[in-house]
Amino acid sequence: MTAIELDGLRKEYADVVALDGVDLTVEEGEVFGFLGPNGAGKSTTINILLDFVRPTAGSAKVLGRDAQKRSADIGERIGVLPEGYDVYERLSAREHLEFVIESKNADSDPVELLERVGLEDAIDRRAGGYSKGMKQRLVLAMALVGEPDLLILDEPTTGLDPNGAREMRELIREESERGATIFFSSHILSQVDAVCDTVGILQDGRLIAKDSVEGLRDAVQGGVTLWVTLADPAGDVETVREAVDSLDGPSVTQTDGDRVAINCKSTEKMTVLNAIEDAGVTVENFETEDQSLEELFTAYTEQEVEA
Amino acid sequence: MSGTDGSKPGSAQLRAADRALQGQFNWYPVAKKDFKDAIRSRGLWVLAAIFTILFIAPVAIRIVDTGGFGPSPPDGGLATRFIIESIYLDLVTIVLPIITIFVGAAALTKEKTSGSLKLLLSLPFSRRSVLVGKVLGRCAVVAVPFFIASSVTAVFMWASDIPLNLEMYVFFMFYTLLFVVVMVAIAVSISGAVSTTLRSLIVNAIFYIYISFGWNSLANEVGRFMFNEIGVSRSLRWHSVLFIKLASPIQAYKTLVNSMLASFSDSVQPQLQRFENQWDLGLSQLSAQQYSRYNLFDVQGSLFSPALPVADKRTLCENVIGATYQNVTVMTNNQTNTVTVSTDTKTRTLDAAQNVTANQTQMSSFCTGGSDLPFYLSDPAVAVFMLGWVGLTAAVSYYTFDLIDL
Repeated sequence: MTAIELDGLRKEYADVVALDGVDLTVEEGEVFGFLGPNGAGKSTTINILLDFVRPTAGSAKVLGRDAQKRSADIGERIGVLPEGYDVYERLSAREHLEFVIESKNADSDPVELLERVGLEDAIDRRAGGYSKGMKQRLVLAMALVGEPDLLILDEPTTGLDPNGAREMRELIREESERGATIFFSSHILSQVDAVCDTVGILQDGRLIAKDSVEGLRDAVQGGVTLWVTLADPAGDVETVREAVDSLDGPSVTQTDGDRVAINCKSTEKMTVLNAIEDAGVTVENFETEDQSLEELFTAYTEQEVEA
Repeated sequence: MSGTDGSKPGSAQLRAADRALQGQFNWYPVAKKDFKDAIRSRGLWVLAAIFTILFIAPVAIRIVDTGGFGPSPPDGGLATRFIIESIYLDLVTIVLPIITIFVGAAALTKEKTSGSLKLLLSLPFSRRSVLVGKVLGRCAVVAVPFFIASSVTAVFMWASDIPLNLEMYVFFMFYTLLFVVVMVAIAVSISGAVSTTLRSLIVNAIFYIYISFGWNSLANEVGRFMFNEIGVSRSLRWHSVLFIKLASPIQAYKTLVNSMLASFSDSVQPQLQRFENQWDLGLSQLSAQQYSRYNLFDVQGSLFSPALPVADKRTLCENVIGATYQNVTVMTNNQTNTVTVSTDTKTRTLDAAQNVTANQTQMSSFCTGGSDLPFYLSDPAVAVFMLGWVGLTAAVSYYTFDLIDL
């Protein structure tokens, strides 16, 4: 079964088209990073999944159920960190969790959940006095109640310090290992590549790419840069150039002392190295310089803008 | 909830009830959370204090000013009735709705604007459950301080030797609680239908002002229009006017309380009683329910009120509230030194107590007891009209609340 299925999803506000026909499938068990600059329509998509917002056209299914008609049923099996939420200032963290546990008919332990998000020290304090980061941890703990099948997290790392962001990634990994599907949005790309199986890039209300992190890198012109350090640079640079040129695709882009830079797809790295060694060249060392997703993302969205 | 509850007696039953409600109604956790959240607020306890002061102060002032309420029958009925009729009824209908607006107007708009509604709706709650839970939670929020205040007031009256008719007082509390619940439900429903707290306050205020001060003239105007412009019968006209009057939650509440108070009275029509004692014409009094409806039409204090034309009074009395309208003629005769009293059905001639100096004819009329008030105007029906407001406003609110994007 698919965890999320969007079909021709469109949302128009009075004078803006927020989503312009989005088709997207997220498989069960996947960790899906939903990327895009601010204003691309990520939150609108998530709000439709949660039935906070009604689509103008198209349909959204969550865990095989229509998101608009059966939102209460869906609520039983998902955990959510929405955008622009607020907590009940007069209730403590424990009471918040008790409320969610009761609502979901779950048997989770509030203390255990708060330990997982690192909020156990504030368990009986009123949430009105919490910092932004603490409120975020509280809502995250609420999302984890009852081991949901699907976690929908809208910008989960905003408002967290680097340490908090790392803990968030760990939590996502743990939940994924438990078997949950995770769908989260982000505009900070360096936080995405470490945990995602698949990413989708949304821009101006349209899904412009959906692939694995590796696949996306390759799809962007340039791929990876493979730096090869040669034992005998004086004699071998030309041999390397010939060996690389004989392959269809990769090419030598520059030389720097005893190092040669080769541009190739990330899946071709071994092919390139084998070809060089087959030509009788001794490789002392090699390293790949990944194009960061940040650059990738910029490249992607700029290409689209130009197009 | 926490482990400490286990030691309290009765907490096991409480927990069982809690679980049963939770299993039965999906709005229950919302109502419970809302109540829990509100019970922490200082505002709720300020509210209880305001209620208490409002209830006790007028009574206390009167005790200090005039030294009490004078002699009263041992059952305390007269003093209790006086306090309710002359003090509490106006207090409740004018002040309570303002308090309920403050409690209910922000119930849903605050959640909408702060974003906590998103947490609620991401849980297994439909928008309907959220609305119902909020309405019921807030009703409890007002009901609790009201209950505390009216109990404290009862204790105060008992302590200051005011004879209290407990049964009457409990009925009054019950109807007032019903009224409060209806008004809160209306306020919360308006809150569900608009986007911001400010708008909710404005709509609530307009509703309150209209229903408090504009409703009766609306009823009268509709009646006049139907009669003069459309040409409906007099009976339909006054049926409609009474019906519209009773449809207002405030008027419905007042009527229920007046009807209840009248039912404790031996004689709702003292003039008729005196007349009957003197002449023994076999005229019966209106029932408590008939009396409280008839009295809505500016005939209080004097049944010879010129406010309504006789034809309209007769229609109201006979066709609407199901009573009997009696013209009574009193004739004195100085030849025979007798007084003749005649109704539509009976004539009695008695010797005058004093010398009759002139021949005089006096005509008057009474609305006297007859058959029963039709059921659609009776107390149970009026209570249903009142509760109908909860359903009506909640339905309008749900329709709007269900459409909006958060």
